[in-house]
Amino acid sequence: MLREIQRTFRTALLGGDPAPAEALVAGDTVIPAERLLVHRNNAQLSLIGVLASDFPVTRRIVGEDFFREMARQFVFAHPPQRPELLAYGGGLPDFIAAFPPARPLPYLADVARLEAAMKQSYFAADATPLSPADLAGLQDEVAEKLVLALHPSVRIVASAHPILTIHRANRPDRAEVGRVNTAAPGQTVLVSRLAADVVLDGIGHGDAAFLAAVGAGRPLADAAADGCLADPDFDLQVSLTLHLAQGTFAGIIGRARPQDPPT
Amino acid sequence: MSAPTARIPRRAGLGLRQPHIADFLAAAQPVAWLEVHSENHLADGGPRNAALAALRRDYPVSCHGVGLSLGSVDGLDRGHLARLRALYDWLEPGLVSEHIAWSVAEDGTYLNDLLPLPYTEEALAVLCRNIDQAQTAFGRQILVENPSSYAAFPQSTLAEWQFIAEAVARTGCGLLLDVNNIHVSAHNTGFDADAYLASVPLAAVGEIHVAGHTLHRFAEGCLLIDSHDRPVTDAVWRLLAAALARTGPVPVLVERDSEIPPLAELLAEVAAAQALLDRTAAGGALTDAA
Repeated sequence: MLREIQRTFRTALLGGDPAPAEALVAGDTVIPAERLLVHRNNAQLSLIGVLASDFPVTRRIVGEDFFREMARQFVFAHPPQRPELLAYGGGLPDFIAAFPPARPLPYLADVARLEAAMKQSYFAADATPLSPADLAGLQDEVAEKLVLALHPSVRIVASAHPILTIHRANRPDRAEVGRVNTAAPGQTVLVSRLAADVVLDGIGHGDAAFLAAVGAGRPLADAAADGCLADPDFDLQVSLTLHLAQGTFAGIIGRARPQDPPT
Repeated sequence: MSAPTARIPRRAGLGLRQPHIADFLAAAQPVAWLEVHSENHLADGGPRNAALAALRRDYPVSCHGVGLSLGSVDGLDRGHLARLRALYDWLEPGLVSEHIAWSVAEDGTYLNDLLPLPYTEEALAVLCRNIDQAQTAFGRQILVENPSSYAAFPQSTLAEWQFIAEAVARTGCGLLLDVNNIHVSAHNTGFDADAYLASVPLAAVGEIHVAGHTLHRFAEGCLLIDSHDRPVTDAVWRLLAAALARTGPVPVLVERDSEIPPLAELLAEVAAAQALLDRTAAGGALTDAA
């Protein structure tokens, strides 16, 4: 009985046939279908609401009705598999990428990817950022061998579309949507948490390659080489100064020793 | 296990919601304790948990779980239990509560609603096994909240209060008595709220919830929806007074979960709950929950 209730309710609540669940429920002047409707609304509207709240820019771009219908279809196809909604919605960007009605907006999935990264960043672990003082006075040849940890809140989102510009133009706190040339070159965005806020910064190809290498656990000199390969103008000192100021690194996790063979 | 109300005062508290965190961080507010939804804090870190850690220094905190799904036929999600345990070890809440309901289906899907159980021996056995598992995992007593019901099952063989009394007796859990849920369920499934109050195991009550509800009209009748989106109604305040007259002072929580107004509006409700508690303390109680 209990198993049958739980199986039929699950089907009825997320887009399936409600008849088997309705048949299990008592009714009087309020019929079983209407009683089930309360639960169906609770489940669907609350989950759609979580997505609406976590993807405000995506929502503003497509409008309320489009977003809610897209979110409803996502909820039916990918309902939460654990009771932690702080971790829900990470699959929405891929769903958007394959959602035919969103095809006229080829950048939409990447904008959603940026918002998903912002949610992850907001709830990521705490860590004391590495400060400029932590690296002050180090000889270049020592500094170059350091292995740094990226702050747990750091995410890097790369796109073939100008997602940072699009995001800024459609932020929910803007009175009017800004004008954007969506055909402009792609952007790579560094997402990180500064004090209580998630902040977005556009970074170049060199910086992106550098941070990716740092994140992979490679010493600064190697990471800088990756940065230079991606962008000949990449400058390690400039990049380090910038990222130390905005808390991109969480600490020193290793120092490659002088006798280590070159990698 | 420690007494259920050892660290949460027998006074009026408020459910802490996101829009009011800044108010609480900025100045001391006239509430005796705070309650949070456990699942809102299952994060590795970040500003929300940092704010809670700061408020925890100034207010006793209770944790109200909304996702453990004590009624799930296949038992509890061990990962979720472990994450809740880690949260409770960190926060050391004065009370931990969950719901007499299910929200995780047999395929593991989380439906994000508190769904009804049939009041049968089968469901009672499942509920008790899951409460045992939770109390063992947390190493403490939990309170379980009576549900707000929209649908009842003809197969039920027990009254809701019998079902609850049995669960309390078999597991040693406490009861979180939500008097708004009693009011809503009484209307929706046709029982008498005062008879219910006279029959639930009031000695096990470790906390009482009050909240607002809405009326939804259908073609032939209407249901009360436990919407938590408006002020507590007079009928629910009367039920609170009737419950307190029997239990004596216990922690009372004002809950608002949507259409959240400025803090001052909720503080007025907290003060109203506190006034009822003061009257109870002054007038004595028929029985004492402790």
